[in-house]
Amino acid sequence: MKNLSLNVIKKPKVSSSPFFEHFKNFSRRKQGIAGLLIITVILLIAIFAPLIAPYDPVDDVNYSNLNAAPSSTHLFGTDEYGRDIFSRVIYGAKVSIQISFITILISASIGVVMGLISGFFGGVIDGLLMRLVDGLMSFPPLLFAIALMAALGSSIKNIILALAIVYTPMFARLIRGCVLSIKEKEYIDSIKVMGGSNIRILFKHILPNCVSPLLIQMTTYFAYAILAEASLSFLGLGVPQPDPSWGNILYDGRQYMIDSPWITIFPGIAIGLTVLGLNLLGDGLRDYLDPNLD
Amino acid sequence: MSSFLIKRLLALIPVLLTVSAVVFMIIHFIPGDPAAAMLGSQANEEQLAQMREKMGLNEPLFIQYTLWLSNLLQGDLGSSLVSDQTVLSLIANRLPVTLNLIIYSMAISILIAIPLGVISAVKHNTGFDYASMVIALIGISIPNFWAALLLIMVFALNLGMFPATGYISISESLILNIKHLTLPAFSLGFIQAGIITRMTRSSMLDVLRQDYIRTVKAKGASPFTLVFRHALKNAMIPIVTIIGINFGLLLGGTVVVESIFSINGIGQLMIQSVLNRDYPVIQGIILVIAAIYVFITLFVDILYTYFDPKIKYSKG
Amino acid sequence: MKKTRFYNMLILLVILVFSLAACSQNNQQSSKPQKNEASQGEDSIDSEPKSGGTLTVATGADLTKLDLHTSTVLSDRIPLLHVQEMLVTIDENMKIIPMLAQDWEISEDQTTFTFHLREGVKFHNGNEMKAEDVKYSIERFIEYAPRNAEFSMVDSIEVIDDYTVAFQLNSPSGVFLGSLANPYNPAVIIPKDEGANGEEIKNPIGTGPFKFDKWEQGKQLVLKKFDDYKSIEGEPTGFGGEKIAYVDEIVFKPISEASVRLTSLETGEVDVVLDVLPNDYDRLKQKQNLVVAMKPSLNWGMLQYGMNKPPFDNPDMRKAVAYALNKQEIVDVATRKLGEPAPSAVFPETEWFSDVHANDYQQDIEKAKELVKKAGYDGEPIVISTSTAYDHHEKTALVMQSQLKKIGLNVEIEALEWASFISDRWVTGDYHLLNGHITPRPDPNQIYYAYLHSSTSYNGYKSEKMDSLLEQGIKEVDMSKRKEIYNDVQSLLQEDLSFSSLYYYPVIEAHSPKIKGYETWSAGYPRLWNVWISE
Repeated sequence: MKNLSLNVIKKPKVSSSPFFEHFKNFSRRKQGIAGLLIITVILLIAIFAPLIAPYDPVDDVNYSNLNAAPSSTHLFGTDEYGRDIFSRVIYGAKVSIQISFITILISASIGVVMGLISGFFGGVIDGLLMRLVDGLMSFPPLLFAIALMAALGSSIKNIILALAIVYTPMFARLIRGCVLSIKEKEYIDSIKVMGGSNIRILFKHILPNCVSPLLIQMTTYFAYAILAEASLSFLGLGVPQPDPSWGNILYDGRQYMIDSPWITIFPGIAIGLTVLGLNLLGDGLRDYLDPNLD
Repeated sequence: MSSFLIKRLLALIPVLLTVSAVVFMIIHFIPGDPAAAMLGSQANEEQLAQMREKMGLNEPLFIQYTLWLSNLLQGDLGSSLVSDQTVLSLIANRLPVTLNLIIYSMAISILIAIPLGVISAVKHNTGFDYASMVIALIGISIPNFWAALLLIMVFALNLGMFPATGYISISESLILNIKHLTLPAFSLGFIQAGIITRMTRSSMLDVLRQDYIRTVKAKGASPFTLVFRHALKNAMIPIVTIIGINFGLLLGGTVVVESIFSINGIGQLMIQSVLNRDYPVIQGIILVIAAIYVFITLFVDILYTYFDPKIKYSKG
Repeated sequence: MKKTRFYNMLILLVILVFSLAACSQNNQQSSKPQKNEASQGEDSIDSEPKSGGTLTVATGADLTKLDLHTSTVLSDRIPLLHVQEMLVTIDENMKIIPMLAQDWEISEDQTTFTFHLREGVKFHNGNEMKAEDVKYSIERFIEYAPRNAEFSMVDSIEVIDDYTVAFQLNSPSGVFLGSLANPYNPAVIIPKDEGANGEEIKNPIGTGPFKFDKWEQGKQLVLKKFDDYKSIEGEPTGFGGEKIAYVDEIVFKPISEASVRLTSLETGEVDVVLDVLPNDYDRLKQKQNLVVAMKPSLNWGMLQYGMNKPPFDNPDMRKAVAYALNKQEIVDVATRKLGEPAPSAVFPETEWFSDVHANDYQQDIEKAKELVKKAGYDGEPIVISTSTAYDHHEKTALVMQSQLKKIGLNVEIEALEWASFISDRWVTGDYHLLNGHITPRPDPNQIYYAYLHSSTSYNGYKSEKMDSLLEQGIKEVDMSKRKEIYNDVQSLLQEDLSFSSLYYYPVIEAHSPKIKGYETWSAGYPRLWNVWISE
C-alpha cells in the first residue's frame, strides 16, 4: 500500500478484545515473514544467477529447438531463438532486481537528504524544494519515465536515471513530513536550549524516528520499480536486447502467447511473485515497526 | 468555501509553472541539437537556423523558457514531426478516448473494490476476508499488460465473450462502447481494485473500532445504516485520496493497455511519438496530462471537505 | 491454520492462472510445413459474387501519409493502391501490362514513348482522366518523389491530344516502362493540380475501384466503393485486369500486436489479416474456421554495410561478415523455415535469375576470422541497426549478432521504430550494419540502381565500374544483353559487398471463410477488388 504523506490524524488506540488484537498481529506477522521468505529467495536467485542457470541466457542459442515446450532439459521451455527460458528468467531476476535496487537506493538517499534539509531548515529552501517536488509529482510516474526514456535513450543506466528522477520526490516528501512532525515535539527545543548542534539533532534524534516509514516506503517503491522496468521493457523502451530482463522477455514473447504461452507465463509469475513478496514484506514491516500507522 | 477554492487555485500556479519548467527541460536532456529534435533529421540548415531563432536557442535558458511558455499560453504546442498536425489537435482528438477508458476502469474498480473492502472489514478474519485479500494482493502484483494479454486469450479468443480490440465512441453505440472497453478497463483496473480494496478494508476496520460507532450501535441502529451512513463516510477520506493518487497510476497504465488493445487514445499516441522521436507531441502529452492530474488532485481535496467538514477550515 | 488457508488460496490462484493459459493453447506438433503454393488458400468459386457489405482488414501498421508520390512506406501503399492507379502496371509475375494506357508505341530510335489512354475513365471527383492529368502527375512525381531518379531519362512530356501523351527520353531506355510500373513509391495518376507546388495531399483522388473516405489516425482508414469505376478488360492479374468492387466499404484497421490481430480474426472483429507471422502459420492451418495462405514472395531481406566509416569501409571486414553468416539459420529463426536463403536480390523464379546469381558466399568461420585479423579489428563495438516494425528484422539482427560474435566481433543491436530507422539510419548512411527488407521491383535496375549507383546510394558505396554497368543496363533495350549486364552487376556486388541479400520472406495471410474471391499474391500486396462477402 502506498504510504500517504498526509498529516496523519492520529487516532487514539481503541482497545477492543485483546485476543482480537494479538491474533491480528500474529497472522499479519506470518504474512510479513512469508514476504521476507519470498524476497530472500528471489534475491539469492538474483545474486547467484550464474551458478543456478543451466544455460547462458544470451549465447546458448539453438536454432533447431525453437519454441520448445517445457521439458526436463528446459524447465521453462525455449524461446524463439532456442534460448532456455529458465536461465533467462534467472538472469532476468538479476537484471531487474539490480535495476530496481539501485534505483531505490539512489532515490531514497537523495530523497532523504532533500527531505531533511527541507523539513529541518524550512523557509525559502523548503518552499523551493517543495515546489519542485510538487511539480515532479504531478506527472504520472510511468508516463514521466517513458518521456524521460524517450529523451535519454534506452540503456540500463538511463532506466535507473529516469526512475530515480520519478521516485526521489516521493521520498523527499515522506522524510520532510516525518521531520516536520518530530520537529514540533517539545523535546527538540529543549535539546536546542541545551546547546545541541543542528546536525546532531538531525541525525541523532530526528532521523532514527523516520527510519520506519522510510523502510516501508522503500519496499513499496522497490515493487513499483520492478513493475516500471517491466512496463518500460515491454514497450521496447527498457533493457535492450539480447540481455534478458523480465520485462523484455515478455516483450519478445507476446506474439507467441497463443502457441507458446510459456514464454510469457514464467516471467509474468516471477514479476508477480516478487511484487507480492514485497507487498507482504511491506505489510509485515508496517505492523511490526509502527502499528499505529494503519 | 469560495475563498478556500480561490486560495487552492492560486496555489496551483507555482505547481503548474514547475510542471512546465520540467517539460521544457526534457527537450534539453536530449543529446544533440534541440532544434533538430523538434524538426526531425530531414530538416535542412535553413530550417534548423529558423527553428533555433524561434526557440531562442542562442539566448540564455531563462529567456527560452519564457518564449516557450508564452507560446504555450497562446495555445501553440507545436506540430507533430510525423503527421504535420498540431499537437493540440492530436491530443484533443485522443483525450476523450482515454478519459472514457479511465473512467470506465475507475468505475469498475470502485464498484468492485469498495463493497469488497467494506464486506471484508465487516466480516473480518473470515474465509471471505482472506479470499478477497488474496485476490487484492494478486491484483496489485500482476503487471497490467500481462493481465491484458491473459484476458484477451481467455475472454476474447477462447470464450469469445468480448472483443479484443478497438474503440467505438459512445455517440455511435453505448453498448458497443462498453463491450469494447471491458477487457482494457479490467486490465487497467486490476491494480486499482487491489489497492482500493485493501485501503477500504483497513480504513473501515479503523473506523468500526471507534467509540462512537459503538455508541450508534448501542442506540440500536441497523447494521446497514451503521456501515453506510456512519462508518463509510468517515472512512472515505483516505479512500478518496487513494483514488486520486491512483488516477496517476491509471494515466500511466493506459499507455500499455492502449497499445495492446489498439485503442487510439493518448497512451497509444504517447508510444507512437516516443518510438518516432516526435518530441513536440511527447512534450504536449505530458504537459496536458500533468495539468489534468493537478486539477484532479484539487478536486480530490475539495471532495475531502464534503466527507469531513472539519478539514475545510483547518486546511488552507 | 489461517496460514495454510492463505497459502492454499494462493496456490489455487496460481494454478487457476496456469490452467487458464494452458487450456487456451492448442496442442500442436509442429510438422514440416509445405513450402509450395497456398495450402487452404484456393477458394472454390462455389458461390456467386454478391455486392454489398463492409470488409475489415487488419494491418500491422498504420499509414504515415496519404500522398503516394512522396511515400515510400508499404502501409501507405496497401490501402491507397485501391484508390489510385498507374499508367502501366505489373501482372502476377511482375511483367508490364496496360492500365490507364491501353497501348503505346515506341519510336524507331527508342527515345519517344507515345501512350494512348483509355477513354471514359473517371476520377473520383467526377472528371474524366485525360492526357494533361498524366503529364501533371508524372511531372509532380519527377519533382517531389524519392524515387525520381528512375525518371532521369525523361526530357519532356507532351500532351498530343486529350487521350495521347508522349514522353521524350534523352536516350534509349530498357527500364522506362518499369519505372512507370514500379509499385514502390508508385507514380500514380492524379487529377491535374491536386497537391500543387508540392503540397501534401490529404484527400487522395484517383481512378481506382474504391475511393478514399476518411482516415482516423491510429484507428482506421475507410474506403468506399466507386460506382463509376471503369475497369480494363481481361483476366485479373497483378494490379491489372478486370477489377470489380463488390463490397461497399473497406476498413483498414492497424493492430500492432500480432496475437491480437489473429485473435480479432477469430472473434470476427476483422475479416482479413495481413502480416501473419510464420510462427502462427502451422497452428492456423489446422483451424477450420479460417483460411490461411502462404506464398513464397519476392520480398527479400537485405544487409547493408555502412561504408562511410570504420570498420566496414574496409572490404576485408565486409568479406569477413559475408563468410561468417549462415543464411539458413537466419531463415530458420526469422521465417520459421517458411522462407529461403537468398543468394541474390533477384528472385529465382524470375527471368533474370542465372547461375551467376545463385553463386554465393558459403559460411567459412576460419576464413572470416582471418579476414578480421587482417583488417586489424580492435574490438570496438559494432552496432546492427534494425527496425521494430517487422518481426523478422529484429530476429535477423539477433541471429546475425550471435553469428558475428563467433568470429570475434563485439556486436550490439539497436532496434528503432520505422520512422527513426528510415530518417536516422537508412537515408543518412550513418550505421555500421543495417538490415531490413525490400519489397518486389519489376526490373532489376530498380533493385540495384538505388543502392549501388553513386548518385543515389546511401551507404557510401561509390564505384565507377558499377556506375557504368548500371547506366548501360538502363540504356540497353535487348533482354538477353540486359541479363548479361545484371549478371556482371551481381558479380561485382559480391566482390564489393555494398550489401548482402539474406533471405526471401514468405507472404502469409489469413481470412474468414465467408470472404470469397481473395487471392494472395507473391508480391505481397492484398487486392480487395473481385472480393465479396458471402453470408
